[in-house]
Amino acid sequence: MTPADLPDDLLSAYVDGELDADTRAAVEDQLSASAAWREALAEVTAARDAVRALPPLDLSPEAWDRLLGRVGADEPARSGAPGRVAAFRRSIRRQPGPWIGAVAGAAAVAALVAALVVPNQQRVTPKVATFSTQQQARASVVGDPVSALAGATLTQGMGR
Amino acid sequence: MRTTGWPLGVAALAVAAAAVGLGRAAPAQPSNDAEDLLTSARTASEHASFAGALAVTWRDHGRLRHTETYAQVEDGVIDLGAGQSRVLSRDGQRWVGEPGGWSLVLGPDVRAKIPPPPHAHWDLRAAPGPAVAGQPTMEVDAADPATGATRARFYLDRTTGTLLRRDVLAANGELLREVGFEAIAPVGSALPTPPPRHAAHDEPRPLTAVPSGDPAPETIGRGYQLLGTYRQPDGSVQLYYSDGLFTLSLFEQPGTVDWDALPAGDEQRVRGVETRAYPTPTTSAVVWGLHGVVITCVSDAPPDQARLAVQDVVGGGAGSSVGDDIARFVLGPFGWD
Repeated sequence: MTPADLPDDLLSAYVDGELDADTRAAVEDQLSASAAWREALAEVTAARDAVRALPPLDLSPEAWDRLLGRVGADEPARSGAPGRVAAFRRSIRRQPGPWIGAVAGAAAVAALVAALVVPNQQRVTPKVATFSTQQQARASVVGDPVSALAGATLTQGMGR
Repeated sequence: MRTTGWPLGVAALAVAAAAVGLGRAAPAQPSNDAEDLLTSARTASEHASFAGALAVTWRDHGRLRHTETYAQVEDGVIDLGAGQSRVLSRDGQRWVGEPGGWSLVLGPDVRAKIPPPPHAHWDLRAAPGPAVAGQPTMEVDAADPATGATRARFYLDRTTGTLLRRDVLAANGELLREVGFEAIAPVGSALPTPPPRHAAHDEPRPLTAVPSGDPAPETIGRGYQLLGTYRQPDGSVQLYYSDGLFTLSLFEQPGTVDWDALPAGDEQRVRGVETRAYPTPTTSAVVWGLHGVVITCVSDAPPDQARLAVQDVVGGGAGSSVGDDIARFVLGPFGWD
């Protein structure tokens, strides 16, 4: 068996520590006995590390500052209401209330984004926006889904 | 909730409410009733159909910020947001994005543990509440048993049990966050938003074993219990906790924090460890580095409550048992390197 024939998925799961004890022991037996398996393991590990080292897309600190500057507090941007909300309000024929439009929300969301990426393997910039979306998505499973996911609409899509 | 004839129904309920004095002070219900209300609210949307404007308010450096989003609930399918910022929920799956560009960010996890009951760490009280989005409500207050201070308020539709508003409060009673419907209406004859046919798979994978073989902390802060561990698509590890009322996640990555690349935030030293905090509309996030691991804590709890968990994880800095556990967890031989 050549390294190309080896089960990369199994080795990937092994590297990630996601195998049960029996399977992991079986893989380790193979690794001890086979240079081809060890070579394949090294390739899987190198590929994973290379993916993790890819430069991410994100806002620079300067862009972050500009976005923060656009966020207005206590001064609703009435004309920026999201289209679906505006359509909903029209549909129920109510006058818009003193609520703020998307500008503040979008800017705040964008602000969360700055938290991205890993210039190299040693220095890490956590993806706060993505993590926040993940946290809220998971919280929506054990809690009220609407209120938990409302925040996710404001933070999702802004982080890598 | 099929709210056919809603305007007339609301008017009738309002008259009825006024007639019996609802909204005035009333004897609090036993705590287990409050818990039943919260438990029912978690699944009420599975049988509801309505659309609404959802207001989100949060405190950022002492000032209240506001925005609004759209919500449509139809027979268990929840569709929130607009444009490129949609969130779709169906059963145990969550998608984000927009039609034609969906990303699956959460899949079912049958192995996740059941969270503790809310009364395990909070004193719950139920009483008739004010009208929210024109609907009469029951109000459930959650108080810190140590101080008696109310830290969260939930307003539930009396007829359907649907959660219409949720407030999170500071210890002094100041509003920190509020998510609530400003208006709701029947959704009409529209069909539920179908689940995306095609979506990028960005959901985390449940971890069946701790990578290093060392245990992740089972409990942190004041009663946050570990419910599940997950690997994110970028390789980071998520430890997910709940105290029964609020939730908290620790996202862990090997390395050191690149503070210069992070945006400005609230900088604070916690037991000698530098941290930087960010308020988001419905959560708070804290970033720090310890033992070669970068940790981001994201929680929907009041920030001071989440900070107790952060202090627990930071512990005494180098040498703390919980911090060491996490370092071994992330950096262990089967974890990262």
